[in-house]
Amino acid sequence: MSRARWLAVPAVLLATWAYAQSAPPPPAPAGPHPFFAVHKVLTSPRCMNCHPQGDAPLQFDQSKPHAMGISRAIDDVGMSCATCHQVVQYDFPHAPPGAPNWHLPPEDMRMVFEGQTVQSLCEQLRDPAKNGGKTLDEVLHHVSHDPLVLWGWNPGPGRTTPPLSHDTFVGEMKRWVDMQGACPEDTRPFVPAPPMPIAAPAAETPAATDAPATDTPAADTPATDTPATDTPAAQP
Amino acid sequence: MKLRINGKDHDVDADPRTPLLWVLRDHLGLVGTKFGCGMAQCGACTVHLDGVPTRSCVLPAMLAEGKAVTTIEGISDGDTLHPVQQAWVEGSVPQCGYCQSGQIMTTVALLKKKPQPTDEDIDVALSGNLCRCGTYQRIRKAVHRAAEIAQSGPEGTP
Repeated sequence: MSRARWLAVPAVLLATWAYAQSAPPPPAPAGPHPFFAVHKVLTSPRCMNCHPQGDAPLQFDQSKPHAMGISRAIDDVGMSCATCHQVVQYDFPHAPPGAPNWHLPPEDMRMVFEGQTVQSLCEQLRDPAKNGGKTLDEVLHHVSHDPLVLWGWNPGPGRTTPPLSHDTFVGEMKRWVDMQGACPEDTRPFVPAPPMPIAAPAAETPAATDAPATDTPAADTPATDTPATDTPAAQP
Repeated sequence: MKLRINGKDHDVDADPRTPLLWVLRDHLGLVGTKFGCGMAQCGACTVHLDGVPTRSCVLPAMLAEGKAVTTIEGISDGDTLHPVQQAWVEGSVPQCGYCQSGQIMTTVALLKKKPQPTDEDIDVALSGNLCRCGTYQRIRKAVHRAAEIAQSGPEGTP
């Protein structure tokens, strides 16, 4: 009896050790780090144009400075973005796009997307002092439900959508949030992703031989998470 | 729809999606607000929505319900012109005049926010109001003059 008791002690210890070894490991990204895909969306024109480095919003797929000298300064002279950007999206060409609460980030919380590397944008987005005071769950809720974010996938005629579907984007964001906002090490220079092509009217479609070569990645394909090298990100 | 325009309530029988511009012009006869481009690019249709300049050509009228709409017809005090209107007359600003109600409405909002605007302020505020006659220099001069008029007397507060 006594011998059996002595044998039981190491058996329990062994079982405890074995259980510890079988406990699930900390979450690790399966496949590419999710923030590569998130970065591709946030630096696409529909998102980045209202998160510029300067005071002027950007416009069009070329991300040009807003026409008519529009900048944050309009708030100081009695105007607002809603002067022209109404809460509804119109389907006729050339009208200003519209969505509820059209605005730039505030001057003291600029939340710049333009020019950010994957790593720097990730670090900014997880930091409540730089992301508008949001927890990671609140960031996820924001990109999942905010009408102005959702507008990016319904931007009206003549504007491309982000390179991933909204569902895929939110899924990648959730993977990132599940990783507690861990950021990849990647400081390659920022190169804007090529916009998704817009279907042109048949009469305006150039001949195939005149069309420039494109290596636009397929939609919903996250960017590679190849470690940084001297070579800029593989984007045209 | 119930709309409050220039301090008066109006019952309007129109499709709620009708742009406010056409409710003003066709249903209420307030034709001082002009149709220019129809896509918020020129500023001729500018009115105030709760004091903020707004392009009425792209604003569904239903979105103006519950808000105070002010048009060019509503800024004077009876027969006493608004200081901006006084400055416009004094400086003979309009040429063809088509864009001027929009220019004036934007200027009224500017002076409420910046009673003594700089040239840069004027450029920022009015760069979205286009004038094919090119009266921009007279507009800028008149904005400064309107600021002076508004400062000079109690009745001239914009």
